[in-house]
Amino acid sequence: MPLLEVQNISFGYGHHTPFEVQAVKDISFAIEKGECVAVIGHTGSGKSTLMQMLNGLLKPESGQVLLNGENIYQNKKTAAKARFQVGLCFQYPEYQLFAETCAEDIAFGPKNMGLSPEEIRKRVLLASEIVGLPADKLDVSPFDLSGGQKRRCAIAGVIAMQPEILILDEPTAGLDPAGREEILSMIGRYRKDRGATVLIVTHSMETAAAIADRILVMNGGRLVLSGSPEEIFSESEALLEMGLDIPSFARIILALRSRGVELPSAYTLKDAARVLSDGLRGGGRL
Amino acid sequence: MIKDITIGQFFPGNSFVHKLDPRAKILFLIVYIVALFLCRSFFSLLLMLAFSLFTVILSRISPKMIWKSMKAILVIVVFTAVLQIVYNDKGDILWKPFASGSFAVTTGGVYGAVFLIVRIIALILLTSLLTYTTSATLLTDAIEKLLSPLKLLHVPVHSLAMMMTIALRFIPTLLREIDIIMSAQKARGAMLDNGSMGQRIKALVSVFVPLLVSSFRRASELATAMECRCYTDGANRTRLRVMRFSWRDAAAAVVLIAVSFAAVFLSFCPISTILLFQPVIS
Repeated sequence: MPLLEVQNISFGYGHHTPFEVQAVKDISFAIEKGECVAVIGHTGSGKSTLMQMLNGLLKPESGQVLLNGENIYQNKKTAAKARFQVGLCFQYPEYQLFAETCAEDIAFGPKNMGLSPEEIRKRVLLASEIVGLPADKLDVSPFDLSGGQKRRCAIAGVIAMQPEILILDEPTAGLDPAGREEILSMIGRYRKDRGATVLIVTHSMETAAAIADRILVMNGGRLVLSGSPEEIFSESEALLEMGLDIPSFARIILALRSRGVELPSAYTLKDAARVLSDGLRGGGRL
Repeated sequence: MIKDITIGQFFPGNSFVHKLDPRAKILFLIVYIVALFLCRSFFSLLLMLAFSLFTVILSRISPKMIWKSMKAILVIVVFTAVLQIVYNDKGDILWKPFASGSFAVTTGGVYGAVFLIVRIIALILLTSLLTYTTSATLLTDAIEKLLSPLKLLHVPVHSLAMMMTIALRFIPTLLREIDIIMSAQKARGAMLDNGSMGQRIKALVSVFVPLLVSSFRRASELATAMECRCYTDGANRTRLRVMRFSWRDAAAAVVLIAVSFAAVFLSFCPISTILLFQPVIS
């Protein structure tokens, strides 16, 4: 049984107004335990709406969301519980920081779960360690942190609930390349150390390819492609049509392969460099 | 829930009401409100209500949207109506729940309550229609034009108008922001839609602090952006679209003034008193 299963869910905004939009149309997919799945799509493709339906915040207008085989929208109680089981970290999560100290902010989720003070303290320490927030920052006001640290503090607030699935909406948005790299490697570590299930929403193919086992592509509220990074990248023309860009190194490798050069696939910049230099050294046709 | 609040939103359109000169619309609204508060009989009030409904239909704004804006204010309307029933002791006694004490529901109270409800509904209908059918830019231009005589007294009319536009412009933005922050805190288990009253109020702190912080951030970003574009308070600036009064404004003015006069006349003329409906607001 998959950990999370989504069956034919749909959702629209602003019914009966001039601004009516059908944000999510009849989407189905499943996520296994320990998987890392990326949902990609350009702005307005319905990604963020989809995310909110996965953790009990937004009831789908049709279809259902099953967590461990149970519909999370059975009643108010199950929906409220799902918020802790499926940890959703919104886009720009640093804009939600509010407490006087980072520790208090990270403890907000666990406190709402009704845990004991010792358990809360343990979780706060663990979560801040996972995200790499220095221990001496825990007693500092979250508004005094740097941008990247704020982001980590906010992500720690979700991780501290120890959800069965962690959903991150554009976790690297607005960060510089170094900050981006740090957040992505942090997520990678979190997965490796704890066998965690992660779902990442992004508009960047590069981010998706760097971290995900499987990629789901959304366009106009629909799920249009699904598969391994390799399968998705091979549909590069369809991706470009949807306004999604594949990184230039991947395009080079695809072009070489289509001209008959034998090359293994590469979806990160490092891999691509290695593949290309190996190809050159081998004295092949490259 | 938050998304249901539509005050300050603009619905683009091409109707008669949309095409009216914004200056005229503001003046019309003032005339309408004055007439509405001069109304003292049901007849005149119903006439005003009919006029406002007619205008709503002309604007081709979906009745559902109008109803939404009403819903938000309904609580206040019902509250004032209840107060009116409880405290107004004029007229005949209709119902006296307690044998002792002086509390009683009277005809005057019920009339007063119904009168108040109709008046507030008529008021909200047209005031919300002003922002529904006029973009914020046009609205500021109009306010600035209408207030421009005050420039002689060194009143910073342009700045005032600009502040008003910015305030109006940011209502939907901040509502969206509240919505996102609320969802985000709910995702961390904040008891905003479940739990006891005390828990809910406590959870609101987690919404208001980020909202305040982000409002200040937005304000400073906007100020920087305006300065980058060399914004000054509009001295000698010409406009791309010059506002002109048209036949539409004249026609609307004639109808509005006719209706207002009729309504006010009905309030004070004896026919209405003869026909059962006595002036109830003293």
